[in-house]
Amino acid sequence: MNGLSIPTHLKAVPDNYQPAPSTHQLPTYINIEKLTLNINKQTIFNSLTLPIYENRINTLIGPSGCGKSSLLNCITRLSDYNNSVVNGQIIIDQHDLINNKTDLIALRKKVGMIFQKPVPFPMSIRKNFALPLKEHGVNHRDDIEMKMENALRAVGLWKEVSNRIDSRADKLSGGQQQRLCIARVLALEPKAILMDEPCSSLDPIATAIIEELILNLKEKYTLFLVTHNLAQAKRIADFVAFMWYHEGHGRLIEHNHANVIFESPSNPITAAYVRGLTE
Amino acid sequence: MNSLPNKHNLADTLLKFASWASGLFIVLFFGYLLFDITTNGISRIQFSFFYDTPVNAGRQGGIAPMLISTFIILGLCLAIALPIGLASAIYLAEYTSENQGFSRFVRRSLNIIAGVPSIVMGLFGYAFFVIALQLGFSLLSGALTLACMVLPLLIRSIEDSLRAIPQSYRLNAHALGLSQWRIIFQVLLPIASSGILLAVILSIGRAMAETAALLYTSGYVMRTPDSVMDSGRSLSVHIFDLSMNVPGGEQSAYASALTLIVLLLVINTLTAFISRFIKTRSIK
Repeated sequence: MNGLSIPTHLKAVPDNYQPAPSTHQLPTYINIEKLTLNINKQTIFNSLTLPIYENRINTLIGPSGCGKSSLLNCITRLSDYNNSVVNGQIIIDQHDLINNKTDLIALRKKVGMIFQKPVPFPMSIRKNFALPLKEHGVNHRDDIEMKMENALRAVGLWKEVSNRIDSRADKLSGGQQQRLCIARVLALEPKAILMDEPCSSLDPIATAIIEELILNLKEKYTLFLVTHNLAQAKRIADFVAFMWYHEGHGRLIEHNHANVIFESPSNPITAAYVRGLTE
Repeated sequence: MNSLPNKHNLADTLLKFASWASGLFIVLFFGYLLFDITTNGISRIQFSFFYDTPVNAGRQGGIAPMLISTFIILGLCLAIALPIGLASAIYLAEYTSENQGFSRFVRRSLNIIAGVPSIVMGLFGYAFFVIALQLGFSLLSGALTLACMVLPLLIRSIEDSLRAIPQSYRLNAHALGLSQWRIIFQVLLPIASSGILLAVILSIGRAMAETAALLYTSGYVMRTPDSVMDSGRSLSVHIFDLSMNVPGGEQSAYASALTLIVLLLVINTLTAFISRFIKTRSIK
């Protein structure tokens, strides 16, 4: 944000600077192209282009307020609920979802979202699964039961909660709640999962469990993770995109393999940020 | 022995005493009210009091027609006000923002309607439902007028309990691909159910106690109504009439008042019970 103490020699990003076009020959699942977001007539980010690689852990790092969470909200069209004006394209399965014809319910089944603070509905664990599953056409009790159990097993929560499926989900511990929320998304069999700082409200042990889980999930799902925690990005990321706050709005500075970003970034701002803004 | 300054102790003690005393005052006042009504009315209450028709302008006999009229008016009033109230509250809370011009206008209008004296509402009900819509002096006219009176209370409290739900529930529900319909009816309304219940209980209390508005709209004929288009006398109107217009009717008035209070208690308990049942069902 404006109040952030940015080392003076790093303030200037050349106006014509474009992040190096991606040369990786990997299949992408989400293609963000020239995306501009305005909220209440204020530009959050401008002309952002970013490929999200299939079955990889894609992470997005950068200071608070540069528009990372807003970018995730654009992909699931949660941006619809806060006076956002979105221009550009987000392409999933050859379909540009930034238009009014997008079937939001189908989109959100395909692209799941995990928030910073886990929010299970204040109902039974079973109902937390039954509500979204019924919405997406799973009506039979046995089917719901089976999908719930599989999802809870996938996040390693089944043993902990199998004897209290009918008690309230919001009485679980923070780490369990976050795993429940991940399981609730997995039960819908999405293609991609977006995570907005999924560990920031958790203790180190719960964090380690979730990170382990994320590493396992990439076999089946495309993951796009926003994090403030550079160490976390270093531990689990395959690709890192770096956003910076520049001239009043967010901007994508660099995007590359995680080891390139952390060891030999091409932009001096990236270099300073991953070193921890120590200069 | 006590090292703290005495002044503070004195202020604390005074405050504690004052709040304790006002609490006691309320309990004593309500206790006296209940005691007075019970001692004066209990001798008239026998089982036949509830199923007999009144005799000699209500000095003797029972209150069966009034009970029937009261229940019909109350039932109709809720059947009209609750769906409209829920729908309006959902619209205000979920489809408009709190500071938007239109919803501010609606909210302000509701606050004004809520403050209109019941005698004025009665006149309105008389002019509009009884005369203009030609519903005549009928239970339906009374119920419609009462519905107008409880609607502001109902809408505002349901809206408040919906707005009190953190935004994160809505965002999570949207992110899971839930339809707006399902979010409202299966996520938000169950969460808000205790607030909604409170609104309903307050509305029932207001509707059962209302007298002035019903004098103009439902009339005060003592016979048992055959349909909702018939005129009928509610319990509250009966109490009013016995105590003001019927010399020697005080005992019956007391007995009717006792019945009204007990009825209110029973309905409140019942509503709480039903809502708890609905809540556990919607949660599991």
